[in-house]
Amino acid sequence: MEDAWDGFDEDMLDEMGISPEDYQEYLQQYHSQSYGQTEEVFAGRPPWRKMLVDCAQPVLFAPDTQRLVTYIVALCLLQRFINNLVFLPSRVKSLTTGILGVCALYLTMDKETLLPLVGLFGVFVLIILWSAKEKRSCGVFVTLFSAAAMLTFQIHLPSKQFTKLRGALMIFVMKMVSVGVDLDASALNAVPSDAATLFGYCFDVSSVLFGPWFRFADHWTMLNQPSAILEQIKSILRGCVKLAFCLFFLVYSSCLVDWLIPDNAAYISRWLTAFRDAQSYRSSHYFVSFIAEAYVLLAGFDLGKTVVTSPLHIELPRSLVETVVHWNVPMHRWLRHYVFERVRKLGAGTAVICTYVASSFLHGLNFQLSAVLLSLGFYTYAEHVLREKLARTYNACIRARKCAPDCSHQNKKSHMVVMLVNFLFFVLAVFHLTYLGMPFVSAGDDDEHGYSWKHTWTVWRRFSFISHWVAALTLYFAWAI
Amino acid sequence: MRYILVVALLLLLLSVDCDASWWLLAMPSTYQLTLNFDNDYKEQCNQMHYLVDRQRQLCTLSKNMLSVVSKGAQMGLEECQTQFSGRHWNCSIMYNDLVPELTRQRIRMKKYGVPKFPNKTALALGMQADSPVIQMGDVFGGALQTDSREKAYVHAISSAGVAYSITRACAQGHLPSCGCDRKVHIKRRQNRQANWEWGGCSEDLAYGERLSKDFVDSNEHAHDGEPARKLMNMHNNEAGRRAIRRNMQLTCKCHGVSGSCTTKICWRKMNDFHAIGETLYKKFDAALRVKFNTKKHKLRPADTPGEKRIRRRDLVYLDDSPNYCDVSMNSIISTQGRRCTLNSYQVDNCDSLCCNRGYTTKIIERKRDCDCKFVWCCQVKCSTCVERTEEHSCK
Repeated sequence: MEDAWDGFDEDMLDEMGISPEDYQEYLQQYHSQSYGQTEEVFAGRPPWRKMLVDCAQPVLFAPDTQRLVTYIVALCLLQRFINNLVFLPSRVKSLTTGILGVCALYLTMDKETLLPLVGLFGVFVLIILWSAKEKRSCGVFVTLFSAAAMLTFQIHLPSKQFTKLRGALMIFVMKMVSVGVDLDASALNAVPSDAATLFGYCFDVSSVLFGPWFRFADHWTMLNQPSAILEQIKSILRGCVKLAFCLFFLVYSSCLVDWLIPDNAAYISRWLTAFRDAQSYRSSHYFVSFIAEAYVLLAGFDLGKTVVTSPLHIELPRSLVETVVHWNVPMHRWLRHYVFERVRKLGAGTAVICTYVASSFLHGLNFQLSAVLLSLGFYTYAEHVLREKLARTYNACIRARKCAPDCSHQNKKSHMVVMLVNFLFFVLAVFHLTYLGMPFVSAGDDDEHGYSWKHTWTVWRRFSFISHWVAALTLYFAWAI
Repeated sequence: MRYILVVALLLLLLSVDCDASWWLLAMPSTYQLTLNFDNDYKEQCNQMHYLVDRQRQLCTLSKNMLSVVSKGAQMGLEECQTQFSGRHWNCSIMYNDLVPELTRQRIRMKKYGVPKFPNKTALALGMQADSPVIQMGDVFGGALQTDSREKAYVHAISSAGVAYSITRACAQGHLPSCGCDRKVHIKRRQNRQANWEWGGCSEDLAYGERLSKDFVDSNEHAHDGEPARKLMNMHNNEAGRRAIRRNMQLTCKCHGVSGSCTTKICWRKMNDFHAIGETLYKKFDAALRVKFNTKKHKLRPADTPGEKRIRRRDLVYLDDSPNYCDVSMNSIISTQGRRCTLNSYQVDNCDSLCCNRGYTTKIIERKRDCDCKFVWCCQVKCSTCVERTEEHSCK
């Protein structure tokens, strides 16, 4: 069908006052019969509203999230209420917190994950009671038993189940070992250590899923001495604030990072993608840490300022040492007290190595985690030594940890060069963190089954192990200077 | 010529038992109309003569309902045109400018009782002319008279579009009565869809599918016709909806202490509609020819009986596609003026697309910015390159 519009020449268009470009555009539109684009076609980043609806909303309203945020919070608040009933004997309160903890475990995990923990607890109680009767030191036995149990579980349980169990198991083992060692050191004289109280401590509703670890003595205190009403209300409010933060980190980890930095293939974008993946992993960690803090605050087990993690110190790190310390503060304290201090007599270097080995053991002897922890140990050592030497040589506040306000250095932190050096180390730390956090992105089922060594090797190989080389260089400088 | 067509259509509009089709909702102009629904939307719904009873009933569910369905149909049509852009029949539709006038005319007629039409003689002419009775529902201009693969695709993609659009609207809160609200006013039998366990208001897609099925299939139920065609259309509608479900992307993320998997949070994303269009296009290539088994009142594979089962996600067709190069098809489909590619191995090859009529080559000069350099300070200076591209179009 010929249309009247086709075949106009330039003179006629001129007469009509239509420019040739307009005419071409008109012809194109007319012949293409396009209706314009639907909102589904994007170039680059989709609008944030689409991201909210497609990702943030489903994630926040997923059944798993709802369980964590509503049911377990309700259990924690119930425990707080029970704590306040001063007329109840302490053992009953311990029992209730233990039972609520078992309920929490049952809700989030299934029966088959619950049984190993219960079995573990049974044997643990037997050890404690036996060593109390025989007047032997139970610390060693408990440690050995925990190590054996972790190995057994790792080998015999299917990988999916073990990965699910691993978090709660880690907290459990830390608690058991702390009780064993404290009993030896007679630090628990004020605390009755019978089955009921131990049950309450190990299966405590606020810390059974995600931690944090706290001492048995502290737990007993908090159980039996509820604070004033005003303090309690403040605690609950702080708990709610932490819950809000944790949900933000959840959405950030699942949705926002992918929205901010979409996939791209160019080389420089590989680093950006790596940064995004590492940050998603760290954000997931913040989610878990903040929800742990929230549970503890809501259940009334906080002793002053409960801090599990500090995102600021990790995202804007002064050094890797600071990152390691602030990653999980209670665990750092546990490692320092129950591992480092006890093997210090073997030498500082050996003690550090032992600490990292213990840490990787607690994390379940998974290759990826062990590799990351070991690398971190190596990096932190190199950084610490180098910065100490530099600080001494140049008399400047560039040590790995922040200087005290009254330090003896001549060049304090306000000095221009000091700021520059600190900034350079900050960039280095971010670079190392990106590299180390990169393998924690799952393509498929990896994160459910535990990452394999092949995966880690492939990921790091893509970047030619550059971070390890840089750290080796740092170590060389540290020794050479 | 145009007026006669309009008149014929108008005549059909006036008749009550015309083979009206809801595909008119796919016109952008109709979409505009549905966007302007006010609080008297229930009345306007009942005046939609090209919808069947059940569709009008569903329209009254909410103010946004018809605009959502219309948007879905529009999406389906657009995607169809994208996918078929290199083929003989490129899913083109006709009367896109006329339709809103017609629909508005109808509404105006209801109010004033007098058709406001420009040319009364044309009206008279039309009554006597031997113009072919163009089915009102056939917005494709008669190209889908045969129950061919193309018809299968169109049914599938439009049904998918409606389901997609409803699901999206539910997720964004534009439709009040959907998703997690169990009080849905649909009286059909309970749909035994599998319960989605993960993420979001988990019944959105199920609702979208149910509503799409109700809306689109009621067109088939309402008209008496060959059972074979009805069954084919309903099967293809369902295939379209299934394509959405299969294209849902499930993403899960583990959260726990130091990378353990204490809790696993999953959510699903509906893919781009374009991906669904592509999936269906692959199904179009692999469409199954079927025949109607009168005894069992079912569709059976025609070529290899018994060997290949018809799956719910396959597209089926009854007749082979017509030869689009045939002279008899010229009044309906013409590839004149269509753009073709010179040395392509696909259907958009200039020889086959132009039905061996030949092609004309136009050299198009486009001016582009190139060699952009940063000049101190602080401008970006580009020179203009003239790009010459050849465009071939059929004669």
